[in-house]
Amino acid sequence: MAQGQPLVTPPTGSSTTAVPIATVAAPGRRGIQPRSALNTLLFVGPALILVIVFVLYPTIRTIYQSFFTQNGIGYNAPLKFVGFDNYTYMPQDSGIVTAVVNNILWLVIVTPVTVVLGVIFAVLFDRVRYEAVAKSIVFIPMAISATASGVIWRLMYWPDVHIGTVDAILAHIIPRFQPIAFLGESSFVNYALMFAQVWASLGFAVVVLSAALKNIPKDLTEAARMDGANELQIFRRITVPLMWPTITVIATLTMIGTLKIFDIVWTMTGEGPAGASAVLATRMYVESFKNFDQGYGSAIAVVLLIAVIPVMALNIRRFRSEGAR
Amino acid sequence: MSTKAIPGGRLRAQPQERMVGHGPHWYTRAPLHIVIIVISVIWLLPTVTLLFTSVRSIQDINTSVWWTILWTPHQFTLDNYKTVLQTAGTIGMGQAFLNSVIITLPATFFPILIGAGAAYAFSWLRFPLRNTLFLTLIALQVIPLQMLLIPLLKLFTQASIDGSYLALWIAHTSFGLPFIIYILRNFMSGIPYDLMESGRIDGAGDVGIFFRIILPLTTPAIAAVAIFQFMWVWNDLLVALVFSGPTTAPMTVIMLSLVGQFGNGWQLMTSAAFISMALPLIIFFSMQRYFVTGLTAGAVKG
Repeated sequence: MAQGQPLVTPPTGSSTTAVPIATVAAPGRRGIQPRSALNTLLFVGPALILVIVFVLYPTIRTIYQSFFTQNGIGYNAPLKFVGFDNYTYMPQDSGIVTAVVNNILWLVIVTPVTVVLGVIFAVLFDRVRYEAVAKSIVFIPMAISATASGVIWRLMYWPDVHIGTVDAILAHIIPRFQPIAFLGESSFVNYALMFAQVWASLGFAVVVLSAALKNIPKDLTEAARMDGANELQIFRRITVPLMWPTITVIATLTMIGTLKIFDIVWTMTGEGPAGASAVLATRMYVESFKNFDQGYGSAIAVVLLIAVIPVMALNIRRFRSEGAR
Repeated sequence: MSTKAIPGGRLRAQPQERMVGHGPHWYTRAPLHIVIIVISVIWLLPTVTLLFTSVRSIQDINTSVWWTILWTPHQFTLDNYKTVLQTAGTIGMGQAFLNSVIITLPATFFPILIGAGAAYAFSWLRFPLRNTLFLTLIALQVIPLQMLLIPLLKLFTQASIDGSYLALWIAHTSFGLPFIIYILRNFMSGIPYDLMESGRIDGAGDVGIFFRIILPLTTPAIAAVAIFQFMWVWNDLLVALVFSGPTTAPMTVIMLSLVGQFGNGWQLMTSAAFISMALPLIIFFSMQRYFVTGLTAGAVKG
């Protein structure tokens, strides 16, 4: 960024949108000299105080607390320093082991499914006149809280051919059908939850990927068609490569989301059956606010933080590299 | 993202011109339409299930599939809604709805006011450590909510505001700020420098420039961020579970208590869920463009 050049980026999308992911202007030296430092403080002070007291301090406090355990029962019991004991105990804690395995399962299944379905839906919708309607339909669940989505999918999966839609449909197709308890089988429950989550969040991926798709110059695809490329070749050689930056954004955001997944699991199964659907976020909640073990709960929160740090690093790098342009 | 990408916006290309190599007749494109219709049905089915179940009595729910109401319309009843508004959980869904409103409005207004001020300082006012502070803010966005819960609960308990609306406002405001500042700063950076300069020449101070030049020009971004923050707070479960009290609980907490209380009280759970969805759905259908931008913009939040 050239110094003394006041305008770095044009007013991006000034007519309609804030474009957060795509265009990030780096902070530069430009700006206006405030009339007084007091004015600056007036603008930036309240935000800084709130963030320091209610975000930064708790974060540090949680890290600190993860090295302690309670001497006694209850939330106000005195704390005792235990070093890394909270962390070294985790591999022996079957609840945490299950949660970590489940989180990894969520990560490696939900991320590619979201990306692949997102791209496919965006490309399919792009080819029809009622694209806007189709996208709206897929986006509607974004307006629904994960708690309400949880209620909806508990109902969908309910093992009664009169109540649960899935079993009701299966009962119409299969003779002498016995209702399946999708949320009651430990081998099945995680996939059932993941499907509900994909339903709830795919609209976002479709809308963002569809925007990326529209940004691909039509000349490119037309030229490829002239040269005799078929639709599949165009998709693989032009569409996907040009959408790749957006695809990585969606993948990153989905990964963060699945690492921190809580509401939908807590509403639909409450970790059940027998803890089979526990994830780190539900474990953290149970240890902290049901078992009142704040040291251990804090340690689980720190593990979550460590899991998302690589993603944070990616975000900052993206911010920096785009600012350097 | 351009407006073209947004549902409700105009379509850009006519299908014919994009489908070179395929016949113009509808039947060659039939598989495409069938796939999209199947997708649409799958995506609508859960919400439709909820809506139809919520307007039937528990006897009907237990004895016949929800779609039977299509040919037995006399099953339709709003009694579930009446019941759930008054008696659901400890306080009834009516009070819970009010609580959600009381929690959400200030928890949307204040972070945006405070965040817009900070974004202005970060984008236009020169001050020491500006970039360092801003980068720290970006980094803070990724901190999981779980990292804040225990110390905040202790702080609020010491200040005797645990379980109050104030505790929820503070939590949501502070937690929303890094993201709001990030988005608004990026947007404000795009405002031409000449405008500030001419504002200065006209004798506007720092505050004047903020209210007369920056804020009016930032309206679209503020609308998008406001919708995002509104949806975040309205749909939040975790913060409310930890910090709300028996009388201040929003709808998500009451819904969860219904799930725990009646494993199969479907007439209550479904109507409660639909009440909680009503307002966001109204916003979605009336302000679709801002809604979509807000939520997609919000995706970066931790």
